[in-house]
Amino acid sequence: MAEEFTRKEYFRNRELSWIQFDDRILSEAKDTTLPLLERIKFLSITASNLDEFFMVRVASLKDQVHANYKKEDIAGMRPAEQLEQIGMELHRFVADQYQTYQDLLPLLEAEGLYLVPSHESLSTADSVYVDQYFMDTVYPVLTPMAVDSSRPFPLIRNKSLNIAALILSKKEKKAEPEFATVQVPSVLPRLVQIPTTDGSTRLILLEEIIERNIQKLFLNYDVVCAHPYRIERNSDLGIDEEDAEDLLKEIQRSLKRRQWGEAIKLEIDAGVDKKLLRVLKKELEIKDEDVYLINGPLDLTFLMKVYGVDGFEELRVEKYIPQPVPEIDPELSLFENIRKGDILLHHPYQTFDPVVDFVRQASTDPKVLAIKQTLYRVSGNSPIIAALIKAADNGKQVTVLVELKARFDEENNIGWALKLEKAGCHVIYGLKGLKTHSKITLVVRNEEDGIRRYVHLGTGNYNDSTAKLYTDMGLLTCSNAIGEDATAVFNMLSGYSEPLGWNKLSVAPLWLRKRFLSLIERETRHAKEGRSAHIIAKMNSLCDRGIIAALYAASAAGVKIELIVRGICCLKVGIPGVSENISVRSIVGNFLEHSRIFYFYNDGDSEIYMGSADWMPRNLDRRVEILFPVENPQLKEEVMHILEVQLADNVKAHQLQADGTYTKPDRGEAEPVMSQNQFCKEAKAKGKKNVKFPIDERHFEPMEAVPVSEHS
Amino acid sequence: MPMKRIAVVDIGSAGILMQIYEISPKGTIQVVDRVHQNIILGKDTYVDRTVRYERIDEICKILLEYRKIAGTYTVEDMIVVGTSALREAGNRTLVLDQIRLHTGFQVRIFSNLEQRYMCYKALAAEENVFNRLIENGAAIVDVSAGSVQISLFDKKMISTQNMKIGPMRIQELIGAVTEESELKNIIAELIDHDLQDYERMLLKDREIQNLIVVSTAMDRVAWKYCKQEQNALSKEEFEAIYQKLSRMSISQLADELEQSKTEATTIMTNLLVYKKMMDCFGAKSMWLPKVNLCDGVAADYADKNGIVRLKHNFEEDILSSARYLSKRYKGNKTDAALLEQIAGSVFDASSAIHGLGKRERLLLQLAAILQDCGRFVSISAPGACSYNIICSTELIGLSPTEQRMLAYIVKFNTDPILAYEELAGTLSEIQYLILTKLTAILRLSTAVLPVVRRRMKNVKIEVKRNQMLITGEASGKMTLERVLFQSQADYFEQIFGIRPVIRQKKGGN
Repeated sequence: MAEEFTRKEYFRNRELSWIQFDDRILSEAKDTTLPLLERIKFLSITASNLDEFFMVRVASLKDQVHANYKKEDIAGMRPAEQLEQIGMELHRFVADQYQTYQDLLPLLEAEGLYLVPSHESLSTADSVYVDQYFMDTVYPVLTPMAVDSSRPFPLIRNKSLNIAALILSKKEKKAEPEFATVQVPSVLPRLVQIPTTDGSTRLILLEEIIERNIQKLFLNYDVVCAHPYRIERNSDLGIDEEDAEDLLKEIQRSLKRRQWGEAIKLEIDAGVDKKLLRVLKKELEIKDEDVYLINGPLDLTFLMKVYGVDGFEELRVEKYIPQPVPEIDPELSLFENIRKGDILLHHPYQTFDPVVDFVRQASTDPKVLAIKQTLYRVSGNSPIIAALIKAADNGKQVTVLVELKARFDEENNIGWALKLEKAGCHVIYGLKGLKTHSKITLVVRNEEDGIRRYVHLGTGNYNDSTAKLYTDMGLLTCSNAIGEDATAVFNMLSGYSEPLGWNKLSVAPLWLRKRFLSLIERETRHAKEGRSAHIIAKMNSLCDRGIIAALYAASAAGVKIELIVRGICCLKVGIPGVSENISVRSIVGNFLEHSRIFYFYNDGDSEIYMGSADWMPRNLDRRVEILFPVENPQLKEEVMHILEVQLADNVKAHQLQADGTYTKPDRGEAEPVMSQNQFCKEAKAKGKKNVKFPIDERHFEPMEAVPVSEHS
Repeated sequence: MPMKRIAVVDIGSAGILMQIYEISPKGTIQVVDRVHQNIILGKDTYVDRTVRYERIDEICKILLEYRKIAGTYTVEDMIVVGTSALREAGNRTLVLDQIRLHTGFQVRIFSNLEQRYMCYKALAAEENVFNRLIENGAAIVDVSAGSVQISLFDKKMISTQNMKIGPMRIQELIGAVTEESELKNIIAELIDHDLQDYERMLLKDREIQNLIVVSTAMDRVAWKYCKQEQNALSKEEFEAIYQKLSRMSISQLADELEQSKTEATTIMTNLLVYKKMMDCFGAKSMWLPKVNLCDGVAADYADKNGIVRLKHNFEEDILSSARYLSKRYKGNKTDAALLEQIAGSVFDASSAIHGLGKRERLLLQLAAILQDCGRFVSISAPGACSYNIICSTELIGLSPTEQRMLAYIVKFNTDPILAYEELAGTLSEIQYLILTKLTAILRLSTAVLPVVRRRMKNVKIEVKRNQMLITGEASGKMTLERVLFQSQADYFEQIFGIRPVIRQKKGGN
């Protein structure tokens, strides 16, 4: 790529861009047009996002600084410089987060939902209840630990909530205060509901109950002060696969290690005693800039439980029920349905059931010979795993690629892998050095006229739980060309040679980057020849230098480029002569935008692709990813419609500005367009056409368990 | 008849390939799965002439894995074949035995010519295109690691010739040359050297319009540049691709074709070979049907098991290339045709006595066509010369044993037949028996030939009781012919227990 498009000032640092993404989520929490509990939910999401960001990204930068690694990033920033700027941004962000929290509290109270801010403000009656709760339920599981010359500082677990205290011996009059710590037990619910008689809901945090009763833990001491604190540790799994004889064992080992990585962040109550803070900083070897003084409760992820509290329906958006897919006739088998033509699935607007049914029906269908599937993140109690096990029981040849390296799901995945193996499935643990991120299922069926292959390709994981929250696309097909490619994909994943060539699929890490570049360059060529040229691309993150440079070149040549990038975007818009024809928008809504769709105008003969890969180096170079075309004209239109509605969204879309900020466009007099809502409505309207269901079918819906406290 | 599925495994020099086929009663043979595992066998064999024990282990492991995969498709048969890497190994018997003991697979080893013949069968299975192409003169250029096999067709097969200009061999020869530009020139010179002789001796001024490509390396080029359904390039299209690719460095080529550098080097050599061939033949088009040995074995299986009837007449190919061979050695065309006819009649008339089949009849026909080819070298010792010519000529479609038998039949037509003990080791007892029977028929036919040629018309041959009656309308005396006939008739009687007798009917002049 010409140097003119790869200058570092044309790129934004990916971490800073990520913080902007969390800012956008936070802006949802601040959005007064949203129901109150939805705002609470968004605030909770910002907190869990931030945890992951610290553990993975900040930790990785810390590692680089320790290793004296000075390589500049895409925007020309060295690791130390990045850490410094990120640190500043994060402190600002956390302050903003807690300001939002404080702003939301009175609004909740106005609705009769009280979050007791501190134990000191409890009424007498409430105090009696919580003290009793402490003695009955909490006290038995607490393990207070004091630190002195004979008792070393204990290991504080990653992300665990603890209370630190300074205690003074009652016996020795002139003794120095000693340090003590007690973990807030994770086995107990963080939120405790206090019984009320006035119909209101009162909730108190477990750490407040412990703090209130802390004296009971140190009977021979006076408690000078006590404050909750929490640390995060470096947890990026650096597994050296070359040396790892058995990947499974290696991952199990490194999971244990994760508990004890370097502490990279300390959160503590803003009113903390200085002496106490000094002890913690010294023992945890943590620097000033990594200490976050918190004006409110630590770890706001508990707000997700507040979101799920009983009642208050009017404070939440009505729960959306994924709709049936009209192209699927429920009276026919899925295979018969697919034979009628390719089927497009749009989750969560449309139900994920066909994907589960695909495996489930295959598991008992006597004509099915084999089922092959990649699994990256699966839900707990996954019906897909159950179906695969059943298929193996029924004598089908079942091959499952379980990606052990799916971050934070490793433990979960090892469990499934062993379970599948036990059931007689052929389990493959991915390729060395590459994460298998592609989502593909192949069912081989022995039909009258020979072998027929049915394939599901998706942009999202085979996870029935997240499929209710993530927007993803899927394609069910029995196209011979795709079937051949799918067979080749699994052969490759099993360690056999690559095929001579691919019919329809593009597969990373070997072919995908080139394919994308050539598709972009084709538009550039057309623009240079004076023809219309247009690219629309939707993805989660955009931070690949080569791709961005190609987009700049395309923009400079006159290609119209519309990007819908939910999260990180290292591309800058509005650079004169470089990116004036590029627009970037990010949609943050109730559902997590997750699908990856790519449209190329191609001089009128447009091409649409979908897949598992973002335009990130890790997706293009270090993962097995699949890009698949949508060729059926009607389905192409449907996908195009999805892109158009997203581009028209003027409520939930944030537009990237030339100065690097994101702002919501001023829609003026225009009708509000909320793409996610529109897709819900459309799916409902379409789903209704599918009237073959008995209308009054009895339906028991299991309650979604959201434990607020054991008394609720 | 339902679909039939089979698996074919090719243990090659660079890896083990398995293809699963679905053969439909309608006549289509389709690949439904393909797995390839890299394992370098060729290097062991070519350098040490031995397949090492660890390699045997690896082969067995892969075969067992393949069996599982094949099992998924509920295949009815699994055929395992081997080529040069196993064929040329000194410990081949041991290797095959180990494979059999560990996996139960009986590996069938192909000679070079059998291997090419199989690929040719795969091509012929694509009848519509193949028949159209050979109608206007075509050459199958089958490039394997060590050599190139060129088979010429002018409606029927004319000749097949092996040349030691395979990419791997060339690369070994010029291993020391590192300058890329120089490399291409040297390769071109090497190819030219062999190709000139070929042009002079075999091609002559024959018109070859179409070139048929059999080469895995070129398959990758086809994937990239041919329209999917067509698999064809015009001379100009190929030229454009060649010009584009040949200007690239190996790493650029690797990048362009998304291949490793090693693979790109092989592709480059292949491109050069095909470019030279296109120029040499003056061909107007190139067909790249992407067939390999497994495809051929599958086609052969379908053909032999009567699931698919390949319309192409392969026996006619052998006969026609034998005729061209005879022509090359100035054989007597008229005599050969007549002898072929007589021998055929004798064979058919005595079928109840000799119990031989179609394939043996073909050998007899071939022997009749080639019986005088040695005379081109020596009139006094034609037997030994014929034997040598036949043994060192490539006759596609015959197994190595069949080719040896053919050479013996021709040799013993003039030379005294050797006892089994003297030939033991080259032929089995049964094969020796067939050899003697066919020799007896050919000898008798050769003795009848001058009679028929000069004196008899409307000859009829039939077996009646203990006699083989050769009846015809004759004129004049046949003293000399009868003497010659007598001695061969004795031999015939000795073998078959019936006495050949010539009966003259009046009416000739």
